[in-house]
Amino acid sequence: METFAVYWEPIIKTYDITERTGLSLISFDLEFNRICDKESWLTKIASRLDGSLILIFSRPALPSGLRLHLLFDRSLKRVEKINSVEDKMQTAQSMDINLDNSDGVFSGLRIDNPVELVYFQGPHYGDRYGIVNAAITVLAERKVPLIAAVCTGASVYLITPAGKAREAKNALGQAFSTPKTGKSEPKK
Amino acid sequence: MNPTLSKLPIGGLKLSSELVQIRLLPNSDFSVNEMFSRLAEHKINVTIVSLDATDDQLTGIGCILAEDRALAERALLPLAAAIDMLSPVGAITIFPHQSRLLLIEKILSAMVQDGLPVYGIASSHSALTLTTDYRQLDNAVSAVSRIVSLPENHAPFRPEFRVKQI
Repeated sequence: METFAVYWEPIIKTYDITERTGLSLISFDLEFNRICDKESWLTKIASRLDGSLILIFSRPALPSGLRLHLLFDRSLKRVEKINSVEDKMQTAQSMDINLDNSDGVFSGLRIDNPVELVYFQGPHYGDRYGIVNAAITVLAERKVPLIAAVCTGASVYLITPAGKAREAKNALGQAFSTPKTGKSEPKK
Repeated sequence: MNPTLSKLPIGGLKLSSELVQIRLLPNSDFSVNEMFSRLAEHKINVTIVSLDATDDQLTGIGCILAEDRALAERALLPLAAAIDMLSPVGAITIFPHQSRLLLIEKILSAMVQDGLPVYGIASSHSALTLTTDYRQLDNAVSAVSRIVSLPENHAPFRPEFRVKQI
């Protein structure tokens, strides 16, 4: 493949940093062999969720499947912080969320609710090293907790616990150049 | 009935060049911060990232170009016991997904039905990216094409050039 352009900037530029609040993150283990012959397995799971999908992402989960995460644009009502997976499952069902698992396609349900999102895009992010490192480093330095991070193409998405998105956005705004700050040199 | 009528319209497909998927294993003694810091120090781009802390520690996957593998192995040597590297990996990106769960569900089911591995998923507001076996990218296109209708004369975009950060 030919490389015909190079890129460098003293401080990483973003087109802007956006935050969203009042979201919910649904996570579960998905076994591939369970979805092979099932129809509507995902739409059934989400059928009781009142909202639109913002993000879907996953990592491998043993033995043959994915730990799948779905970020929805509305917080689920009446879900309280609970500890064990079994309690979460029971509470999800008893709280009228009723995620449909009649096909038994998922296990290990976890609901993080509400959560918040901070996201940004920038020039040629998909081709450049150090972008995600810069983002998670500045958040770690400021002790802003992360629930998840997703990057594809020129976009970076960071999911935080409730009440932390503004803190994350401010921290990122110090480390990255935005149209508002217009910084072109690293902070001394 | 016209078979395209039951297909879900999308704008296009994009395929990656050959990748390596690095996974930081759960419950390791190392943090993703250390992994990404070492990759950045060696100027290695991580093209696709999916991390979660639902097991209380941020862990997950990142993809690098296959040509950076040897450099990454050196960079991540101190973390060798905490990571695994999967290759050859290729990514297929479907755009726009328009938050259609039905589209995502049918694509994942089609991949599984065809015996194609799905190593990871990452999405943005517009694009859905799946990682699979690089050698089976054309088969992945066939599986996805059973589900979606593409604009007339559209062929999946393949990487032709890239911008390199110095």
